[in-house]
Amino acid sequence: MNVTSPTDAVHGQGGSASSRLTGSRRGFSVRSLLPLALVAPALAMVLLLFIYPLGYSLISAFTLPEGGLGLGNFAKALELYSRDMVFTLVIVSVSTVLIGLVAILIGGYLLLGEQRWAVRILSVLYRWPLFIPFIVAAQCMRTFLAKNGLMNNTLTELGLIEAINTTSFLDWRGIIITFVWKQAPFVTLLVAGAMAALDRATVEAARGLGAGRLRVLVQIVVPQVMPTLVVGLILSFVTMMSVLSVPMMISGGHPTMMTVDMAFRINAYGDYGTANALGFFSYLMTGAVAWIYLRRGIDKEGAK
Amino acid sequence: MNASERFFRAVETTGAWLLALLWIAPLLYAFWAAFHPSEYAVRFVLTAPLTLDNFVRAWDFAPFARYFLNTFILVTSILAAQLVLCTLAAYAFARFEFPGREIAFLLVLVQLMIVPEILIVENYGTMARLGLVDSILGIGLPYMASAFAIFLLRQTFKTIPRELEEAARIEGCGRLGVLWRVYVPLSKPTYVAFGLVSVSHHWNNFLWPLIITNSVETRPLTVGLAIFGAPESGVDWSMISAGTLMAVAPLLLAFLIFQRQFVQSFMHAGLK
Repeated sequence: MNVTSPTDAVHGQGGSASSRLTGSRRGFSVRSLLPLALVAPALAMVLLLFIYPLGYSLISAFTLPEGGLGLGNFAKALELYSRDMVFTLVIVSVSTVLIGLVAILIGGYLLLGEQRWAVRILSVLYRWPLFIPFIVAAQCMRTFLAKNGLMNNTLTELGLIEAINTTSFLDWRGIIITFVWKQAPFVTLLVAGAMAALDRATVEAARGLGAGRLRVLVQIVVPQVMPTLVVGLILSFVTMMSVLSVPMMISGGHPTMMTVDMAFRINAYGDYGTANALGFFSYLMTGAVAWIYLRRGIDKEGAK
Repeated sequence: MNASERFFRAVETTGAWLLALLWIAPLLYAFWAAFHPSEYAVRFVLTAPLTLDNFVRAWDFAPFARYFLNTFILVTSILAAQLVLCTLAAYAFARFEFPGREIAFLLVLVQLMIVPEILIVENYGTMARLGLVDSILGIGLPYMASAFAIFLLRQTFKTIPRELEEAARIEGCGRLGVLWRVYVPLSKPTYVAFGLVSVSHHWNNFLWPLIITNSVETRPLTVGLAIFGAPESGVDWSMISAGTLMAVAPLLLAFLIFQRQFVQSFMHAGLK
């Protein structure tokens, strides 16, 4: 990682006033302590409320109910919940891909759309779910997507389907719809911001040369906003992995997501070992995704 | 405009309308159910009478004023602490060399990879030992040293030209003065973008407040909403929708008023 050198950072003013002030022992001492003092409060909180509990939960995951260390909790978690782990990964991955597509489509339309009023309406409407809590989004969706919910009732009253043929979407489809509806505005906001900050000349040039809007979007706009899109998608992936209310309220049955299983192990059995083992698998999934982002950032800094 | 162009324009218009309607449908539904009597909650009848009765019943059903106050104290205290702690840490990571910097930054980055909700059990134990269970400080404490904010601000601070810092130093600014007078003002879009994300996240947070609170005096809105229960348990959807709208109204209103600033902040924050 290319980091700021100490001389750049602290004496970086070259022959400036600051470097003339650095001669005394007292000045050196204060300068050495200042960054530590700046970092200390935040670092203390990270250590106390994050690193310590993380370490403790890992130890708990490796601690067997009868005492001693072992992989018993992991074996139990895999035996009971391996299907839910795959289900979680698939649900969150599919949602992430769909969120990316929706964000590109909406962002692209806002940039390249030719119907001004349609652009204006879409630009106002797409952001609204950003401010809806997951629990409220789940509540809205539960009453909207149910077999006798507003969506089916409206379609029935419009004569588009028979009442007997209505189906509930309160299963894996409901979870994905809710995740996409709730998270896409956040990613779209980032992507649309990045698109609006692009140099319009490249877009206009491509349009002038006869490229269609879809081609401009795919070949010129998306590659330039890809770093922002990836950040938004990774943050959404990690967020969705931790949501309990949506899978619990939308889809009560099995398979379900790992957060529901963790809550169940704790509430029903006080089984912290298995819950922490499930948490460990969750760390692996989010950690792997976040690592891609961090590596990319570190590589970029290195390149500079 | 030829026939083909007219056709594609019509398709585009229809598509944009359809997407906009689909997007807003669940929220429109909440509005519909909240402003109409219960018997029209899942029936779309244009002539259905309007009513505010659902809001009155929802307000009487739960101490919303207290929940609003708790939520407001919670999100503002978290944001204030995050801005102070993370600004100081980000400045140190961006502009100073000190022993253990790489390890300290790595510890912060680990936090970015793992959501705090996964550590609920252990954090509950820590809060119990600190005597902070069922307190607003107990809800907010795990989020105050935000890795996202430290990382975001560090990236922003690194883009600020050193010449500006040098000029301020020549003018007699101390290091904290440089931070306050140069780095913070130039990073305003990042602060606004982060503030928006932080407030909406903590306004909407549910799981940790549900676990750590057990009284009306500390419960935020989302946990208060949970007491409305499930639709199949006999509570009507109209009242749930009214409660839901009351809970999200402040954020939606703030967004409608400040949306231009919000969007421009995200544009300039350069989150990547």
